[in-house]
Amino acid sequence: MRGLYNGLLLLADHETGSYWDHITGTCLHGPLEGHQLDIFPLLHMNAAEALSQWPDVHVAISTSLSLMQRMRIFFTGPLFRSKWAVFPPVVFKKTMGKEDTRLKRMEMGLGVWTDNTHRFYPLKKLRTMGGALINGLDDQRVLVYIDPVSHIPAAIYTRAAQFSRHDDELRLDSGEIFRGGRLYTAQGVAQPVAFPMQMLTRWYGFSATFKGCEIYQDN
Amino acid sequence: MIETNNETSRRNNQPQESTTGFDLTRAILRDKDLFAPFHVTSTYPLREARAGGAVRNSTPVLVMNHQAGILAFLTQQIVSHHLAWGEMEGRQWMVIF
Repeated sequence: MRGLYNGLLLLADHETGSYWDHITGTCLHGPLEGHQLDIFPLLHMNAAEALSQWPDVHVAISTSLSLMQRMRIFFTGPLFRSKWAVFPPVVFKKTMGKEDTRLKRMEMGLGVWTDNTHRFYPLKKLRTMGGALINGLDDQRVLVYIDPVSHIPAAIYTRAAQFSRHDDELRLDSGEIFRGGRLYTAQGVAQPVAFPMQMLTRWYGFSATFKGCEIYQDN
Repeated sequence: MIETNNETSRRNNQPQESTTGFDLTRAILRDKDLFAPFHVTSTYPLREARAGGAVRNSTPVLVMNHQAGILAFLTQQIVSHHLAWGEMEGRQWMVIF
């Protein structure tokens, strides 16, 4: 990471000195400007959910965090989460262009995108809808939900158009059951899940990256 | 289309506009890394890390869903490193947060 732009960190490659958008994988500046990296989803969950979904998953654990970095985790984690958080810092603000003021700058949400659609699902909205919704995304549908245990939002592709709630599970009209971040057949057999590109983010970051993006509306 | 030298010269004398809309006047660019990246050279079964107490059920993780494979990271560590990179099944990957 060698820069700031739009209030977000900029990725740089050492070989060419080019600067890359770390969300879209597009080279923004330098000799490789306009080039595109392949991108893939990075999913938020807790360890139990990860093991439920991928029992043999491995974890990479860093042993090289400096004392300063450890202190940063200790002190800044609660600060960023607090309702009094002052963010982005002034230095970040200087890098921001004309802001999209349809939502508050620091509003949290799940940003979901494809080549054709860029959509922001505000967490507040998701909560008012009981923490789950099914929505069209291009020619497919996505189930967007807040996990009742980890409270982390995520989106998966689904064949279903509607669902009903039963305790901590969603019964989909495709006959499947969604529980604990996993999809099961009516017989209880776990099904593979496909994820659209997504990120848990502040409004300012998503709207600056995907200018004119959609905001989810339920009507 | 073949471009003549005159055309090239004329275009090079025009203000250069970014094809990506990048506004250099707003950017802060450095020639050194702002954070120490995490070079992943070894991984452990998450199940064993949990059994050994290094990870709890409730520990937040980030899961990389890559064609070459699935790999988890401790969210708090990636928040600090911002970037992890490595190789899996002969394919290079990079995770940024």
